[in-house]
Amino acid sequence: MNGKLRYLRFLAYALELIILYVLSGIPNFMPSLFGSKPVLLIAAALTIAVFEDELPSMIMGLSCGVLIDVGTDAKIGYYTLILTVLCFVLGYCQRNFFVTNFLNATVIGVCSLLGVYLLHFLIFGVFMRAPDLGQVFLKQYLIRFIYTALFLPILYWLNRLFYSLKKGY
Amino acid sequence: MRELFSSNSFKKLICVLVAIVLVMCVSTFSDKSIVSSVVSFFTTGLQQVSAAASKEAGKPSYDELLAENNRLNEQLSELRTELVDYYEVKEENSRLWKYYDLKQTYPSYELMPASVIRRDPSDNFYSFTVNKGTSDKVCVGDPVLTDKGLIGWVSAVDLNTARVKTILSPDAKVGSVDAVSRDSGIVTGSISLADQNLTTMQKLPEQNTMVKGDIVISTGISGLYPPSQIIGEVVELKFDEYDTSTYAVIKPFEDIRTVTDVVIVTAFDGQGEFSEGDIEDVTLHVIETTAPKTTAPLTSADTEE
Repeated sequence: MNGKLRYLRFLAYALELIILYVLSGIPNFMPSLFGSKPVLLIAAALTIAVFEDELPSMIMGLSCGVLIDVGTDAKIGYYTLILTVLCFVLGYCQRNFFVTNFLNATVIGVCSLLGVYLLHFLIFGVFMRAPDLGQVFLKQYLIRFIYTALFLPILYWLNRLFYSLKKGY
Repeated sequence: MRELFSSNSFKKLICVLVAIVLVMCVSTFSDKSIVSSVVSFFTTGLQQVSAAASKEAGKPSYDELLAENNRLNEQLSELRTELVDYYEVKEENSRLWKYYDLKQTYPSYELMPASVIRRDPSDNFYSFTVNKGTSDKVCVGDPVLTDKGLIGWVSAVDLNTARVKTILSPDAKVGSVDAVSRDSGIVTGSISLADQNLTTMQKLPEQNTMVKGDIVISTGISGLYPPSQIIGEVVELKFDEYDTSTYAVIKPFEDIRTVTDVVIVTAFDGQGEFSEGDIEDVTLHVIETTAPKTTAPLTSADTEE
């Protein structure tokens, strides 16, 4: 029974990721905030990771990362790596160090998201010596981070609903 | 922490990371990335779904379509109105161009284009009413032309309309001359010929040399009609069975029975200047029954009448 529920839950996660991937690809579906749009798959990976153990979290992070990277430049890269590791760590921490609730999940999600974008900014902005770093950070990172963070609570409640199907792993 | 590093999960994470790094290296140093192709193969379907959703998202909703439809209907209605105006202006333009040539030929003419607004069905001589009156400086006795020649005169006028009698009417008596043979006469209508758009030229000289096909023009000597206006062509020469005089049957170039656009000559050089001694060249009936704006002497004509 637990095994069936587990598969059902992962099927729900997979459908969620597919739907978010599709929605992200629709040009005029998501309104842009100062030219930036949210990256829903990051928020989805992080909110799944606060419920699941490290291995399922890692798989979800890997999947989201691959979809983001492939959707961006058709190559596996930064998001695949960072989300795989981050989701693994979050899954491990969830199992050992904190109790998942809305507040914890939101704080951890926002911090993780901030870490993802700051690291990206450091690697692809600072280290690559991109011009106009201030403008780039403001427009391409800060606003996108805030916009994506707004979806964390929504996706938290959605994944909490899926998780309530009974943990079967 | 040691527990983490020694756990199977961590080992799996390391394996996955190594695999990812390998894939990244392969895809970086290889032109053809197998992994990207594989991933693209699986995501192509999703991208198609996304593309289809994009199209759907780009489509307007029912309410938007309805609003657009209403807006377009309003525009269509406005454009129809403008189109009607356009056709009216175009027609008027083409009509005025015809009279522009007339004005160029006779610069002294004061022309007032007019449209036929009514025809009296009980009138046997095709008189009609036009949409110009005294407010447009139209007066009784003003000649009425088309680009094909003289067709009548204003017999009555009010503020905004004028009644025009045609040269098909027996009331008309227009001094005229054969442009070829120079034989003069008076063009007047006939009740038996009017319905064929024919009129007659009476009081021809006994020794006239008119032939079929000659063009008859106005003399203008009376001062009521401008000179050299084409009236029509001779289609037949006949003898009057009562007084054995000769007359010509004249066919106007304009079909007076159906004319819709005319021009009224409100002023022209020589208007109202009656020449003494010229008996024939007077429209007697007009002088008798109307009050033309000219006060020129009518000595000869009055004497004749």
